[in-house]
Amino acid sequence: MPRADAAGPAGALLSRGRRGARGAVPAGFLFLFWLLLLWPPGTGWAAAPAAGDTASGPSAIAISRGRYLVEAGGCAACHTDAKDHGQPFAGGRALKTPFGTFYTPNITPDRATGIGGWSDAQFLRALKQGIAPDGSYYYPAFPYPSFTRIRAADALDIKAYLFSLPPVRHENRPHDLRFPFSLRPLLVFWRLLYFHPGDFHPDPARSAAWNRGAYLVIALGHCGECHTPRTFLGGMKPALFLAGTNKGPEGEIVPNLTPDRGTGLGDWGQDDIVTLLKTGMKPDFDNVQGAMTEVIRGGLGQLDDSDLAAIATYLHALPPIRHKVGH
Amino acid sequence: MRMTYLVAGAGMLILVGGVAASVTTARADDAQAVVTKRQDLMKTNGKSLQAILKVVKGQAAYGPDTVKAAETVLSNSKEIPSLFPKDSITPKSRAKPEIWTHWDVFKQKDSNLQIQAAKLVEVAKAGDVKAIGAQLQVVGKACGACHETFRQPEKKQ
Repeated sequence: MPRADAAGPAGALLSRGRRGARGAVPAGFLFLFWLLLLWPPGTGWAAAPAAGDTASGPSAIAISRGRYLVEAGGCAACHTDAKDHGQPFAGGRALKTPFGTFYTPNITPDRATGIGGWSDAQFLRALKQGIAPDGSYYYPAFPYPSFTRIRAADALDIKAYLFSLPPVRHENRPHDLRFPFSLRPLLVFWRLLYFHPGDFHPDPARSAAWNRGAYLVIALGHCGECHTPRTFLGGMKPALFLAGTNKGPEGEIVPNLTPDRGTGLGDWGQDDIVTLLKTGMKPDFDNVQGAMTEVIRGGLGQLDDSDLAAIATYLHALPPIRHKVGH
Repeated sequence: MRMTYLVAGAGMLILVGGVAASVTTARADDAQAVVTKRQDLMKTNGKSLQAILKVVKGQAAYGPDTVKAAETVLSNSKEIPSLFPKDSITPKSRAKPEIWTHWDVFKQKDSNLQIQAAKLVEVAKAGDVKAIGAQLQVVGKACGACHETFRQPEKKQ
């Protein structure tokens, strides 16, 4: 496991990034990591600890917790082809990227075309390691570099909720990617550079609200996936974590969330952040548009006020980064 | 003789081209003028609503300015359709062409804003800060409803 995982999540991201940017990863470490990645599925470290499928199935409480987590994670937004009136969670939504077009998969419990046949261990491995049941790597259009920090218990609640939904028969559409990105095994290199698996580690020196906010932002909400600028290979630049980008999804401008005055949220009150996450309204009475509208409507807007306040607490405590996006 | 025709023809072409070009430029200038005008109007609306929000949050005192701000939003809301002449889109504008293909929907969203802004004026005059806050949210939603359908997300040019 990468050493940096022992540190706090943001700090860990930063320290990893600097090391990665210098390209000074020791060869031995590379080789070890390589070995781990090539380990046959289900036998080595990559196999997530199975929590065990119970005969009685998940409880109603687990399902309702899972529903809340799915809202926090915004799963529906990508896994529903809303434009073509697709069924919720049945996939098929096109995600256009510089590497080609991804089509999101069906995550309803249909056995033939969805994830109905998956075990708990397979689900955990997909979410936390980015590895499919057949052992192949997922493209990081699926934000597992963030989801890896989701607690296993939360991940299983998510599975419980998804499995409580009506199964929808909807074949997955293969991605349409440019060469060489179409070569899935090459992801092994991408993962070496940009994927840092590991759990979320609470910071005992910080408040409960900060820790909750950090977990929601870093892991479940995967905010960094859109709000962090990326390298030409599509990896997040950790030194600019949440500092915004002009090259967001569909070419949208994605704002700087760090509390820098002038380029970030420095002038926003916590209640301003909560209002935005709930209603999409900015303090200047302009409203957010594009992908963020979906994120809010798809679940963020339904979260408890305490969780939204926790997100605001965490964002306010970020180190301010001067990084101008937009015009 | 032939040369004369050629020169005359070329001259005509240049003349026609020049006129056409100036017409196009004039149109583009007009379009930009109306775009700037409506963007300024939207900014004024935002500022007026922010001023009311300050009262709701207790950061400013309720007074005649509160009513005035609400009235500004109301009168502006009535002007909006006239600031969207057909196809008035420039590179600086985020307006979507759907405005003109779905003009009825666009107008209907604007009349909803007018209704809600009129209510805001009413509650602002009554002076119940709590009611003002609630109606402010409704007005904000009315603005957002139109933006969401008819305005592009912000992109880098």
